[in-house]
Amino acid sequence: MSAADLTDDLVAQLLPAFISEANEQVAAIEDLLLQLEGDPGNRELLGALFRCAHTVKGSAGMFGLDRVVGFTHHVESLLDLLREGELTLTPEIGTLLLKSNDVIRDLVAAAQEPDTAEAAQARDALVQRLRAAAGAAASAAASATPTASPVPVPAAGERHFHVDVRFGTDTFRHGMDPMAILRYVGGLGRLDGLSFARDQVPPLASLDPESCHLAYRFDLHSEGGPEQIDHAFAFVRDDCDLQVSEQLPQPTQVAQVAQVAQDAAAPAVPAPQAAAPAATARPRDASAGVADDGGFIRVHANRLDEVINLLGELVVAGAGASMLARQTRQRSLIEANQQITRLIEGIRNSTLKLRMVPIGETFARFRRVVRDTAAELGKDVALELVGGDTELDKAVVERIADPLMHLVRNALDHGLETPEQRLAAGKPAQGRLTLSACHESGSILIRIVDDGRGIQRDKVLQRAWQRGLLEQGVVPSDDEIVNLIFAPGFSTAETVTKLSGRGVGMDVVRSNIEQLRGSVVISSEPGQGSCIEIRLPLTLAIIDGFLVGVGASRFIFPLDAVVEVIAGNAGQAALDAQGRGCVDLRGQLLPVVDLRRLYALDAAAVDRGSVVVVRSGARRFGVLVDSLLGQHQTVIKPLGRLLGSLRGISGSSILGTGEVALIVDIDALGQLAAGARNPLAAGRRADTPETLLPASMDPALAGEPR
Amino acid sequence: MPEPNVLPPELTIYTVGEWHPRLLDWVGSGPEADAVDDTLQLDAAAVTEVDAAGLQLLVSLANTLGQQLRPLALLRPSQPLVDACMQLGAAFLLDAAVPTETHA
Repeated sequence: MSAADLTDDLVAQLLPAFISEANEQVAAIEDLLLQLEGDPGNRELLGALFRCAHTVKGSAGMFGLDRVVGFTHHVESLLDLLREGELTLTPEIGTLLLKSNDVIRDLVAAAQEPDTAEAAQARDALVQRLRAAAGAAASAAASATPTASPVPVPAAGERHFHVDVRFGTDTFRHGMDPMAILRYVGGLGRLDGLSFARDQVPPLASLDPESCHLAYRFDLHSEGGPEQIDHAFAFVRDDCDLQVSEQLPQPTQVAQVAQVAQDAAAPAVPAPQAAAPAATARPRDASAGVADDGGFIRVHANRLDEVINLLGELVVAGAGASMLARQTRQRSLIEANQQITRLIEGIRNSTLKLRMVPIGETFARFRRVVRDTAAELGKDVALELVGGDTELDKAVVERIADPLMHLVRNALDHGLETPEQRLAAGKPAQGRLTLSACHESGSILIRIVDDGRGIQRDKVLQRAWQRGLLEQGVVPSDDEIVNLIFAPGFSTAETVTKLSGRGVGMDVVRSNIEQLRGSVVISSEPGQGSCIEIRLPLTLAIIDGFLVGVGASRFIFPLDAVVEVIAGNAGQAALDAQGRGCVDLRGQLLPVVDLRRLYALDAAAVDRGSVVVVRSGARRFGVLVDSLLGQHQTVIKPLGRLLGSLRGISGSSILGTGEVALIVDIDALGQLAAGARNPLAAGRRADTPETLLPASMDPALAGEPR
Repeated sequence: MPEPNVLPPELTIYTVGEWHPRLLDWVGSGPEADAVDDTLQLDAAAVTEVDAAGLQLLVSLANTLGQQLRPLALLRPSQPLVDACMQLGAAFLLDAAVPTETHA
């Protein structure tokens, strides 16, 4: 062990938490920098920026990650100048800081790996530039506004602080090690005169060895302000008595600058006029929220998944118990079961909420992508983010990021034009790209809208013919043409660019989205732009379902998609061979599909079937079923390999009776029923009626082996 | 001269609770009746991990001995222990340190 700070075990235990927190701070820094591009003078944002960098440095110091501390220190110095208004945030500095932020991210990611020579060299080059940027400010400030700093500071810019600290008795119990803190403080500058109040430590007989009785006094010569010292003690501040005073060069002006005692929320002790700038250097304003996460508990995602899995089993078991209770016809038992069911539902809802995260974090990443990509392509693009607070399942958020990234890049590369092209087309030079999210009937709708050139249908069509995706000469509807770009092996870029023509086609994007039980549709107006709509389920675990029966088979519709139910009305529909037809719904024709015929179910037709009216996007259609079995909390199990290719079905669920029900994917069912006219809809999947047959309802086939 | 007491490899917040009573024993047993000098010798060569809590325990031990006017000698203090003493301003613990093996 290099120096006995925290034990290796503890480091290993806490490091993931540090990395995750540091990554959040790094993301916040990036976001703030990008926000500042539009508003470079915003002091609040500049302050928040500084605090983020400072937090990263502070916690990295606690873990002895010297590379992170060393590098971040330079970034922080520059940010300090920006915050103090001694330097203006120019686009060049912004870019430099963004690059530096990337380095911090890499350093954090490689916290436990050895440094490489190239990385160190690259860092040094950046440090030089950071220094140059900071140095320019210092000389400018010195020549332009000699009165700006009323505190006479030694020429070298070094300040002298006297620090008095008594650690709280619970310091050790809170897992903090004063040695690590002192070591960190030592890294802030030149530490001397460290004096340990030995007499504060009681003799063995009266010592509680786990209570901390350490108190120190030392001098620190450092270029930073008193807030850096305060920050070093941030983790123990709650129960530590810390006094920092600045020793001014003139003996008459020795002033106490800042005192941060037990309740650090109080502003700095009123200081004599001369020391005012230092005293206000560390505003603890309420807007510090960016770096604050007070009131939150970090829980490992696995633990949460475990709870949700158990909950899934509980929901199934509860449904089984309810059914048995109903069979007994004992009223009190049924009521008791109903109560349990309600409670389970409550727990389910709140547990699932725990997994919900706003999509804004993912969206925010695109600011940088759009900025860099647009610059690289010589385009001028304004990104608008709407509905960042829309929440969805963490697993969905994580898995949608890549497809989104691809679509955004695609829009930048193929959709939006260069300023010259735009002006020539009579459009403003700056292109617009909008990323929005909202809830819509139980799913989340993400839209990527650009005002670029749109999709050129003739080119798409040519390509589709060329690639044999369509039979030569066949011209499908406009909508179908634009959606051809999601076909496997399709790419319209004439020159393959580094950004989008990487062979990862739009078909991969589509299949990624479909794996999330989502769908993607593109619409486009030539010359006006394109709109890509991605629909995703809110969660991957449990849905509210509507259970129906067709013969002996059970199907579940997502309840959110069910508009209404017409009981005992199916006799009137005249159906074709695939089970498609129309019924009259209050004077309007409603297309319907018969599950029995569609899936060639081996069951006799009933006299009075029912129609479940469902909604898929803007469309509505009916599904003919034999019986309506009511609402059902559905724990989604994946389809096994054998049934994985079943079209129109997204998963399975085990009912309380042990029967397996298939969960209907409304969108896919709609497409399936709309017919096999569109060869792309079939995609890689088999398309013959035989393979559509859910031949067996054996639970062993559906779901994973249990 | 009696065998010196041996400090454990780990002197941290995780072990101070366990070692506190032993240190008390060492102090309480007092010097051997026939001892020429009453220095409490501790073999500190094995210490590989020490944190502020561990160091505080040693300081407390030194303070206790100080009340009895007995010196504390750390025999062959390991590098981690020396570093910790320096970092925590407790170099006085090393005052009577015996850097190399001098006892039989």
